Amino acid sequence: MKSDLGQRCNELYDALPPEIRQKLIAHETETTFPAGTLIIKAGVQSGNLIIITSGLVEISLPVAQGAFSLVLARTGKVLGLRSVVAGDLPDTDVTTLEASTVAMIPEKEFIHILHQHPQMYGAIARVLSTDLKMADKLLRQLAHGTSVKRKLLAASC
Amino acid sequence: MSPAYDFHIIEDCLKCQFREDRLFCTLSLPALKALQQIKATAVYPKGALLCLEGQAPRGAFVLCTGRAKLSTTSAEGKSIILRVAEPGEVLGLTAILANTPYEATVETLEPTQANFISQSDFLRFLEKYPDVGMKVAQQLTHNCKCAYEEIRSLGLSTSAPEKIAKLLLKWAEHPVNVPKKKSGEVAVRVTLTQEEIAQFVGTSRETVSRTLGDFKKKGWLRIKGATWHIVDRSALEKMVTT
Repeated sequence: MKSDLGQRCNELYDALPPEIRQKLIAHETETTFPAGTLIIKAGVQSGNLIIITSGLVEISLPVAQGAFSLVLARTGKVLGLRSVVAGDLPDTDVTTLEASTVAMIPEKEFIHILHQHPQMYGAIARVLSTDLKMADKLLRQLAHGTSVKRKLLAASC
Repeated sequence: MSPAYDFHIIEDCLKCQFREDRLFCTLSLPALKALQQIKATAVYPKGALLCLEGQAPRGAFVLCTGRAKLSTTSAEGKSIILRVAEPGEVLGLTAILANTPYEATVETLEPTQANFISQSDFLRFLEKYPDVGMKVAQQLTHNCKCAYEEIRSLGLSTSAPEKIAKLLLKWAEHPVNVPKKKSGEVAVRVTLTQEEIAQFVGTSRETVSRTLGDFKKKGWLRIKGATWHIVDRSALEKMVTT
């Protein structure tokens, strides 16, 4: 139930005026995933903007023999924005670490609202800026040889 | 009188001949007029520092001509080049958007024109003109993609020669035309020193020197000043496993 219409907080909505927030919320559908669900897979278009409304997820960057853990994200994190805005396939995997509820807005509806309210780009830029900082932080750690959490996949061959 | 360094300063964004080719600068006329009002034109020699890692954000720099390296230094004093920014990029975006210190030191690699926009002016500009927001979003998206590519490269390349081969292949994507180029060769312009290449791939200058010497000896590479000729691209490609 969308009882908190226009009041919901996340890193994107926080920077948007109430009327745009309300338009976006009207297109949200909520889904709860159990722990361990891959909700965004790198290289696969999800077709939705995803907002974590409760729970905990891990964002990781898959590489040839495993993945680098980028960040753990909680309520309020917006996922898939880069894919929705730029049309790129996602670079990262997002996996729930505990039962998590997400709000999903279909890409088509989001783009439609974005075209109606291009001032949303300013808010989008702020979210993308946070994502870039996250990537740059890992890059810096790797470049300086700092220990980085790396999940190696079980050898299958 | 010809300009110093044969450098032509672009004073007017509305008349800039490069505008259409630059990621940030293809803006609407009203936004361009506003940009012209808020930017301060500045020209820097090679080696100038535009901003320092950890410095409080003052504003953004629109790189009009020339290139600049973005580097970071560890607590132990080890410098690493994160990437090289090309003309048309806006530098300092994440710092001014989040009002946090600059995340990298920006140093010009050649004579450069970088127009400065103060943080408050840039934020007003961003809010007022949606197409500016769109360009900023596009650039952040591009930078994020580059960072992920770099992470994959740094995290997986096992040896310094492999990393250097990868860097050469990356440069080969932007070849330059030179008169004495042999058939099948790719010429690239390299303005980085061996020390800077070492900072780029996370190794020592000595290793870079030894590796380049090895590549030359094998006939894969010819170096003539700032013009490097990649003679055997397929040999370099075979070195790159990721």
